[in-house]
Amino acid sequence: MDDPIIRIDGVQKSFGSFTALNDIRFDIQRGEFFSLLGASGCGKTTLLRILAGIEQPTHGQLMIDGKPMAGVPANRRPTNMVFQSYAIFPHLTVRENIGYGLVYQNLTKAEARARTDEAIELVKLTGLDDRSAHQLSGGQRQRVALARALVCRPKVLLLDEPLSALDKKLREEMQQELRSLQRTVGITFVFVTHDQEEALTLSDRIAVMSGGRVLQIDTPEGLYERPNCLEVAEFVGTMNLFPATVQRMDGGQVIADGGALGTLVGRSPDRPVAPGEAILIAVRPEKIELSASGTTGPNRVAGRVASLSYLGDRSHFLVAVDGLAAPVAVYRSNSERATAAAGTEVWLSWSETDALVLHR
Amino acid sequence: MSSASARTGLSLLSPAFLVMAATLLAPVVALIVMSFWTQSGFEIDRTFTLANYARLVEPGEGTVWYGIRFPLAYPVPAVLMVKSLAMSLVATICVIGVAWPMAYFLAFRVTRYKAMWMILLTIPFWTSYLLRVFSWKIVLGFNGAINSGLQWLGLIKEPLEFLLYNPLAVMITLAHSWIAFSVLPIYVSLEKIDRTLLEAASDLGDSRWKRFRRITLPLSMPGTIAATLLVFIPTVGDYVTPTLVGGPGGTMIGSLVQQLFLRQDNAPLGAAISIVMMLIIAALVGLFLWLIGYRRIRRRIG
Repeated sequence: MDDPIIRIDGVQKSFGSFTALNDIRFDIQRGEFFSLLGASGCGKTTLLRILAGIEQPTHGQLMIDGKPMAGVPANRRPTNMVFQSYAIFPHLTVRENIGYGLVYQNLTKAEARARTDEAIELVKLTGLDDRSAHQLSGGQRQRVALARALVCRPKVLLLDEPLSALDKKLREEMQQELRSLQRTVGITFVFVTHDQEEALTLSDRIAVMSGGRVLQIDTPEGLYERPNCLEVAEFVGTMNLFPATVQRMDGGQVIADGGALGTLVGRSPDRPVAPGEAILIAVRPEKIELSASGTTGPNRVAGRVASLSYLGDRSHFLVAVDGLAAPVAVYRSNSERATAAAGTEVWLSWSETDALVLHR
Repeated sequence: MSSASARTGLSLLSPAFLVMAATLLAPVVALIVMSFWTQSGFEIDRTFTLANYARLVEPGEGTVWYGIRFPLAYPVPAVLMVKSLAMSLVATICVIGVAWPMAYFLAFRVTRYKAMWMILLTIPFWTSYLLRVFSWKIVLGFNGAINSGLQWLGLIKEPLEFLLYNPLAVMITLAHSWIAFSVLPIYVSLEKIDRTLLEAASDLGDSRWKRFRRITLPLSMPGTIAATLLVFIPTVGDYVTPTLVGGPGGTMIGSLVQQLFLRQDNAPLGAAISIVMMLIIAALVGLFLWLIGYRRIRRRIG
């Protein structure tokens, strides 16, 4: 397993006095669908452009397919990119666009033609060969950009927010297609997005980035269930946070004093905590039970339903709790038929295995 | 388009239409009408005749100019026409050759103070066209800057006589006069090129030179074509520059038209030559645009 397609080793990038990337180091495995997730300005696109060779790192090393990439320009790297704006050449037809990079592949005319045909079919653009860029819809442009990059058979395909310009329905369709396309061609995809739902749907692994650093690299499930810091917890999905002070550790559990919230028990984090330390107990909204009456005990909090939204398959409750600034979000499936009207007093409870301990 | 917005559009265009009608259409119509008349002395004979046109194509002994035979009874206009087109073509090629790199530099290399560079570019054009032509007379003249400079350096003893009063001087002066005008359209079409297109081309395997040939050059075509026409069309008919720096050898068709109107008292023949010249230029421009597939370029790049 130690033959990664991409090895990023201490990459740093500065623009003047601004540090866009700070000591990035991780590997991407062969055939992986890998996402770089973060808010705009977190450095994810800069990292992608460094992989493509459009930007050069200020410090650090980059290996692609076992070869160091220092001094290798974009046109001689085994990578191809799908640009956010698609960058379709306006003076060329769909076919000419898709075949653009094939002149460097030492193919005969017939082979190049066959490869282009294959790519056009792969992205379902059959019959649009002679259209020019301005005659295409957003989704079609995206397919041209995808085919143009894939036809060169890169070792790594880089995608810079390729779906962000599409409307919601088309975007969801393209997500499915992209995922199945990646399985068909078996090429490593590095996908940049700011949309956490998109990243969770598509990726094998995700690197969450912020302020030029990588916060956590994990599977979608790992990121959602076991965020390693407050930033990841808040960026991926919704998280309820209860401030508390550590009292003691008991086996795999942290027992903490939540003040007015009573005793809160959570799962021990990877980084140890010490008694007296201020922490946050973090619980996902769908892990919280809602009941009209309850007994006292750990992980039990009383509150009042401030508002509820009916979403068809599920309902979202916002529960005001004394001693907490923000209301607690609770998602309940509507198959339970257990509902609480706005203004009613309720009890919130959750299992200690669903409660994470995060550093403040 | 709705009729209301059509009306708005037309009323917005109407001042331009009126000016065009008064300053372009009316003189051209007058010129066409006049070309069917005849003149003797100061008298204009207004009976319709095709004699002026017939005279331009009447066969005769003719003359030979640079190896080309002109078997015409009155070959001067035809020779000057071909000569003017050739000189304009050379001047246009020089202009594009100099303006293109300038525009490229402005669009791709200058990142700050673009406005300042533009102003610097136009500084020579704050003086009048006539003064600029005259200054070339001083540069190229018998006792001019080049000759006295070379003499001072001891490279030549006698002043060079081939600098001024010949077609070369006319072409140099024309090229210089039009460079700044042609930088702008080329610059605009280069500036408009989305830089990610260039990144995409590199990503797909293009070296810098290949990328230039496959992306930058074709996408600059609308501006380059505009600049070419902007220089070529007016320079063919120019008569000020040939008069001032051309000498007898540097005469162009415009000089002949001017002579016919003002000195030789044959305005109808001058009018006929002007009309023929206009038609030939229009035909050449049409042919040029058709050859390079202008409609396709415009449809794609816009």
